[in-house]
Amino acid sequence: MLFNSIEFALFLPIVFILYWFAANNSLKVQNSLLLGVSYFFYGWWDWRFLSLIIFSSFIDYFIGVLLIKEDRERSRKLLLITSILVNFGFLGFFKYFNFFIDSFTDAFTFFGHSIESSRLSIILPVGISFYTFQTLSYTIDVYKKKLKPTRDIIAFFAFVSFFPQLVAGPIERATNLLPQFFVKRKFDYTKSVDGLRQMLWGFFKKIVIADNCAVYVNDIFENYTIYPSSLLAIGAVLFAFQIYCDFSGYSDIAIGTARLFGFNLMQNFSFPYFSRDIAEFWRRWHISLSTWFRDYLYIPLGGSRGSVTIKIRNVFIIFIVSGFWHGANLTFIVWGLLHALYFIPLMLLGGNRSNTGSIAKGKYLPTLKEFFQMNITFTITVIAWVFFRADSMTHAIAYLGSLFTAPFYSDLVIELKTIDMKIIFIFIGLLILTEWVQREKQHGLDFKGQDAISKFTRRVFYFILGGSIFIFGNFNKTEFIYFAF
Amino acid sequence: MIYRFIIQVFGYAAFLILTILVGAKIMSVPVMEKGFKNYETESNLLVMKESKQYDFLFMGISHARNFSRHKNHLRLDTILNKSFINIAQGGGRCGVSEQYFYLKYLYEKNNKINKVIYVLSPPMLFHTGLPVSSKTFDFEPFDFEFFIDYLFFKTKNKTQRLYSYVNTKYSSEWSDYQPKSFNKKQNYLTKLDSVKVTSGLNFTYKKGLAHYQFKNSSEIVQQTLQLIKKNNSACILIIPPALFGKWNGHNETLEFAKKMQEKYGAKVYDYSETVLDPKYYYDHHHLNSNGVVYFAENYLKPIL
Repeated sequence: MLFNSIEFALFLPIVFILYWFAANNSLKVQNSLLLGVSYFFYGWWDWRFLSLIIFSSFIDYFIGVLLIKEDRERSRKLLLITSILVNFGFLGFFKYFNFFIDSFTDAFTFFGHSIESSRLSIILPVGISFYTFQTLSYTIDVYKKKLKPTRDIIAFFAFVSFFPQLVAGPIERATNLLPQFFVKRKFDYTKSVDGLRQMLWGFFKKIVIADNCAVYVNDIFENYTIYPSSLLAIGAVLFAFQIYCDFSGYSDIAIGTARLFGFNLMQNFSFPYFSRDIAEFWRRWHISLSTWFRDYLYIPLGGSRGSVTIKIRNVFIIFIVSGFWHGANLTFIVWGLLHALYFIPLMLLGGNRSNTGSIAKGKYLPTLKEFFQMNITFTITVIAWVFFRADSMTHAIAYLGSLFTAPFYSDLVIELKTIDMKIIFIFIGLLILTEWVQREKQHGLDFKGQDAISKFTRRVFYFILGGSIFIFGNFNKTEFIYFAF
Repeated sequence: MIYRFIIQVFGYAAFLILTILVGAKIMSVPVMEKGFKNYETESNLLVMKESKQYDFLFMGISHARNFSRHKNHLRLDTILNKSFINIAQGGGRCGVSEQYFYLKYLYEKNNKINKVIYVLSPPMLFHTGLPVSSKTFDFEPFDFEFFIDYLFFKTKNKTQRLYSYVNTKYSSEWSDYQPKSFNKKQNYLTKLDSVKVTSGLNFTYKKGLAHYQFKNSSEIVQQTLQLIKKNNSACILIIPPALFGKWNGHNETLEFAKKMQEKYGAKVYDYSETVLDPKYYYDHHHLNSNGVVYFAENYLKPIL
């Protein structure tokens, strides 16, 4: 089920009413209801793949239970490896099987051996990259004794399949989300209102900005050979906003929805385009994934300790794996590699933790230096996004080539102006302005304790956003980009 | 607190929706005041009146709409000397279900129609995209009564269609909407191009003849005939001409029409192979203005 669908518009109020009125008396009923509706939410897409989630949940639940009883380190390690193999086995098969087949075939062909290979027609189960990582975090934390394993099977299964964040995150840590399933939730008016605001902001970003940007981005990336460089630059910038609004929009809706049910999910985006360097960008972009990789891959590899070679190796590994997580395509790996190349000089010069606080804290405007840094960071991320968006490496390189070699202007620019692109820039302007004002908060409409803006002004603003979603929104049931990951 | 929350949320949503609908109505008023004629617009609501008597009515898809486009409406007025309204919808926007709804709405406005000419183009009955097109009402002004009536009408893809109906009223295309008085459609074909016909048919029937769709569509056409009978109008079913003669699905369409003849007393005329001269077509299945005049004089006049 998509958040931006009529089905979800009916599903959410029904579940909300059932949850707070029919299931309000008991924690077990609350969790059971959440489990049932989460499976319904997922099964709406394809019920057959529910078996994967159920199987994955079973494995990690039982491994967790066995880990309590087991004291021998060797057996504990074996249990952990079993969980990792099963989870990554599913992920590898569904997501990467064809990629590896193609890569092997290409490699053999490159060395002059032609081999027959057969691809499989595999459907990528929605959300598999997200729930696999979430359930693995549980097993690893239990293994490391950071978390006590649970025997409450309903709570555990509900934790793995919790519908607001099941298909596109945030990838929750068991240490944060699981304990919330052990406490009976009580309706909290302030929290629910804030959740709704965050959902409204998410819908605005997704339906008004991301889906409208997509129309132009698809056109420009598809016809890049005939467009002038000015339009190619616009295409790349619009994609930067499309991917941000699509993914952070989803996260906002997910976090907001969870708040309606009394849950707190982690912040997944913290205004990343206001970053002053690439390290800060990665502390603000897809936080749940980058911290997952930091905790379960980067630090176990040694992190930033050790020799320069080890440090560089670790940075390359984490960024390449991160690229690979996004998809079985060389373009994603190169995207990760580029970010590693951006990051390494900063790390070697010891500047990767120089911008940890919010930009222009307590001020209206950034300094000239900050403004310059912010624009440089944005520009290099836009260049990397071209690889992320392109269909292939050839496409990405040709696009970037045209960006620097094609004429700056042609009559096609005028032609494109007839398609109303102005409105998108107005909305992007509204997005930047709102998020700049709110950059020290959790989300664009986080008005907790903000008395400077009157209630009336805020309500008018919500009204404008709601109206914009309806009037300018693109409701062609566009899936969230991150469903594909 | 939870009751307060629910009331606030629903109150806010209702206020927002109501404001958007009122806005759509306000955006429609200037367009409605432009006084469109049937041949100047693809909209039906802009030309529908109340308590009017019509000698006949056209319904169907583009093959029927074509009798009004390009000022053909005025030519038919002169040739047939009868008053008529054309509620057919072309451009792939409308299936038989919405045609039924338009006709029902017209009757509910206390209009009287002597004869209904339902142009049964085979693709209208077999095409799988027409019943789900969301653009059906994009050219219609916003009307609360129409909106509410349609809200309770059982059909496919209703939500998307209603959304598009309201949403398009806020577009610059709508506020600039002007009467279009197309000139006579003069261009014509010189010969039948069988390659184009094959590719056109393949495009129309992408997955072959959808018999399940035909079954659904024919049931709705049957309901339309019941509605026509209930309102004491006579019904004429015609299969329109095409340069290539018979469409795929022609036999099923004709067989169905004959059943309707038996059941509801509708008159059936198969005109598929009556106009085979390319000079009367601007493409392989739409008559140009000379073709419309020829067809009206030779085939419509005798049956009206």
